[in-house]
Amino acid sequence: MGSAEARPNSSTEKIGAGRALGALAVLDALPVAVYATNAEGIIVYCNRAAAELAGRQPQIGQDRWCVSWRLLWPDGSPLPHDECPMARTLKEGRPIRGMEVVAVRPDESTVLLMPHPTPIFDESGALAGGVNVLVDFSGRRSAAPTSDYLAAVAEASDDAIVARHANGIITGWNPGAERLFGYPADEAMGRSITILTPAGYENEEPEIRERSRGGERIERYETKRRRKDGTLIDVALTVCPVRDAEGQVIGASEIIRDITESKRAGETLATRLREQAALHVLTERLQRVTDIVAIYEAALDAIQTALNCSRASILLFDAAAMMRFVAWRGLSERYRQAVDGHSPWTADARDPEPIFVEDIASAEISDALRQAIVAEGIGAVGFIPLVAEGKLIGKFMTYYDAPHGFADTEISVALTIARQLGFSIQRMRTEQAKRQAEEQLRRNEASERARAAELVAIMEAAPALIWIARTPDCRVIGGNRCSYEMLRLPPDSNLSLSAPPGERPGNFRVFVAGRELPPEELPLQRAARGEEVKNFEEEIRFDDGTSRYVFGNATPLRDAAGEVIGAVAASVDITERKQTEEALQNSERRLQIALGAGRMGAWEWNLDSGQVIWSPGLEALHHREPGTFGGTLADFKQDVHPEDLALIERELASAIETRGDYHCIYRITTPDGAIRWMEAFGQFSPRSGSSMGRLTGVCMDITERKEAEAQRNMLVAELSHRVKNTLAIVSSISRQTYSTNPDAHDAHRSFDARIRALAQTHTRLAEASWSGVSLETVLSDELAPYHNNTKNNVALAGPPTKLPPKHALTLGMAAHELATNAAKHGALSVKSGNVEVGWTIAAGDRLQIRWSEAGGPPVLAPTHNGFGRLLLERVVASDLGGEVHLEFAPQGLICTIDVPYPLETPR
Amino acid sequence: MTLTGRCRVLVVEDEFLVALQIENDLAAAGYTVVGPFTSLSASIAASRAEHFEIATLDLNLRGEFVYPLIDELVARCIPILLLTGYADSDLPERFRALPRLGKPFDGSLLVRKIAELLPAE
Repeated sequence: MGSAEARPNSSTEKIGAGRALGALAVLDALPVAVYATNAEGIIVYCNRAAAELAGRQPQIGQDRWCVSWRLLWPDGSPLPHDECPMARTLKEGRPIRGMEVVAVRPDESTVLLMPHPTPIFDESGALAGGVNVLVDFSGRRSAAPTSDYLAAVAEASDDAIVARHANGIITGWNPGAERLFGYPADEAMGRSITILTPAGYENEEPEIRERSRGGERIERYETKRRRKDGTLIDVALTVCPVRDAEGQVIGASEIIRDITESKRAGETLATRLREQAALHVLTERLQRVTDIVAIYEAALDAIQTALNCSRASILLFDAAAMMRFVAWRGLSERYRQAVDGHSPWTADARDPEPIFVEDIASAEISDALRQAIVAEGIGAVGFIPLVAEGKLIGKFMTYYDAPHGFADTEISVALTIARQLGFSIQRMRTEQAKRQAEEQLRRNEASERARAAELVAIMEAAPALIWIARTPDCRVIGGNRCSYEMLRLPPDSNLSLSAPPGERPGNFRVFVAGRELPPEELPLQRAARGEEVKNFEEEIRFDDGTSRYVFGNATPLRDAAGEVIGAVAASVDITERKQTEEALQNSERRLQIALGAGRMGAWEWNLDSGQVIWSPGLEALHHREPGTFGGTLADFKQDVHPEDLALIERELASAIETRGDYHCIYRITTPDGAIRWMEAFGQFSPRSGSSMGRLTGVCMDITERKEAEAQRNMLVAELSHRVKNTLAIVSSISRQTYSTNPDAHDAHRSFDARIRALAQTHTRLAEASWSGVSLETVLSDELAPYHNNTKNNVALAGPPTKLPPKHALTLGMAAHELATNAAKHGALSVKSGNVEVGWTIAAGDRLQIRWSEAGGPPVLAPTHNGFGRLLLERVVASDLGGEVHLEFAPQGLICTIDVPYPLETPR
Repeated sequence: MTLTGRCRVLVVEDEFLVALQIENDLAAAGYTVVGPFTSLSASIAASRAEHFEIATLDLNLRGEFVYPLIDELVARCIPILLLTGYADSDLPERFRALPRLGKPFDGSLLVRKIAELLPAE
């Protein structure tokens, strides 16, 4: 509701809507003087009537205690402002009634006032200020005679007003005195005032009397007086000397005010103030504390101060829900140990109430506990629960040496302290937890940073090539130091082959198995597309033609959500290993070549496993298809010639027994049935542990060598055979020549000639390495001694021939006999004669030779078959399987020889 | 010489002049020569067809060895005298124990060997 529209309409609404303004207006308009102060007595408000009464406009916010200019007691003595009733009200926190004061205006006029100061408390009970109503008595006083007025005042006063003589005898006793002390007036009158003096205060009266005699006024002397029933009461004495008309002091009037209530109130106020101050200090300290110990100290200070106890302690539940001392004042170690863990509440107690033991002696507790408490000199104790966030977290204790009654205010303060303490502990714990969490986080961050730095350092120092792409497109790739060094690029340059031109490295290309990889096929780039690339091997080929080989893995980098955000590859430079491998491969290849060239194979027999390994070359030697060897000794033995099996087994057994070298020459039968000679050598690998070891070796096909050896042996045997055969022939010729010719001289010549002819053919054969000689050569040699070029007495004609050794020798001997005969008896024995020899090769395998003589002496058939004819006919027939025909024609001898002619005679 | 005259000797020798000498020597000693045969096939055929008490064999008959014939004669328990220029080592092992006369040989030695090999009558 808007007040501006509502105000003019109705007065009730006006009051309701503008209560504050209305109240001020009402106060201002009141015909009674009213002013208000704050708790410090500073004037905060003064209405018009008050200003008129004071004869001045007080300085709002500056003037203190009273709106008046000056104050006097009714008897004219000055009353300081800070002792005025309002000041007392604010200081004592209670209304002050029945006092009169005289206000002096600035114009020196005076007014008798009856102030009614009243304190104002706020909602929490704290003093907020005061309000005073000043009642002007000036008019009333002037309305009645002073004596009547005074008598009336004395009669009506709540205060005891006692008149006494100078010697101390009571001469006046008003109803207030009777109420206060219990003595009726008739009983008190005439007795000494000392009936009111309690024990211990006896020397007061002479002093008061003395001072009164001297005309001195005693103001508000606070002391104790005894009532009739013996109880003591607090009183304030105001003693005024009473003078006679001459001014002589004849007695005194004592106004005795019961200040028990006010004193108690004062004490209460002091307590409250102490409590409030303690709470205030506690609050202030708790705001500033940074550690739990300071909280305990502040709390203990507040507990001791506010609750006025000599000892105190704070206990909190530990992790095991046991109540443990965390701070204490004035408690012995022994006591703490004795009561440690004791708690009237369990940790899960809900809304626990404080417990106050006003007298330990009568408390319902165990004897042991009581004994411990009493031994510590404790008479009363308070348990105040500490609650935080609805949960019991501990307690604080107050200890009093003597039995102690716990006032409601004390309990209230204790609970206030408990609330503050509980809240602070909770706050501190929260902060501590937060600090710990932060510290942990900081430490984590620090350790993460340290770890990251460590990783970077490791990465940099790693003797591996590390490439990192931080984006899936791999347009920028970084690496560690090793990478840059290997790629011969400056540190921090972009290693990506997908980088924009100018940024892209141009000094190398990447190959796999001789094929250049496009950038998108590089392992890192594949990994950056989400692929795990394992065991890649690539060649990095530089401009200068050199290459480095690397081997490694590449893996995608993923963010927390699993998205690929890049990749990292790690690899090692395997160039040296690669070169070694290649060298090894080369050496193996060379070995293979050597084995192949030498028709050799390699093998290995693992005696532990029984496995036999053959090189491909060995399979080839066995004429096996590659990979068909079964890998066992038995499979090998299958190929071995049955006659040589025993030999091989013997040699192997011997080698195993002596661990000596294995050597064996044996035959194998190849799948196509051929027999090949093999020679194998083997050596044991060094024995290690219980292993039988391995026998490794080579095997070569020595068939050709074996055949060559056989050939050579055969040749040697053949040569020996031939030589001896020839000698046997020579021996036979000799025998025949000499036995058939009686003329020794002639026989010697014939033998000589025959041997020379034989030797001649041998020479021809030897010249041709026994491969054979032509018939023409054989004939020429035999006819040469008789051949006369000028007469042209010898004619040879026929196709080229090549006679095997046997043919050459036999035909040579035949030609020798024919030529010798012609020279002795035939055509060559005369100058005109001639010999023609012609030959043909008939039907491809018959050599037909025709020897015909002409121009010689008349031919006579021989009278006997001499050795020459025997040789001619029988040798050719027997040795060559041929036929010899002799025709003794008149014009000359004709001899035809027909022998098998082997066209391609094997040696 | 009637005793030996009845004794027939198979001669296998491919060298005519050598055979001629053997023939002469044996004939002179009173033996009857069966042969000489100059080829393996002819020799084997003759050995099966002819009657003889002992054989003199050349080893190499124009490149063919007479081993099959030897085996056959050994099986038939017919004494054999090898006439050869080959050395011991050139012979197959099983024939190395056979009586042997190296070429060139002395005629009288040949005759004595033959006589020794013939079973005593």
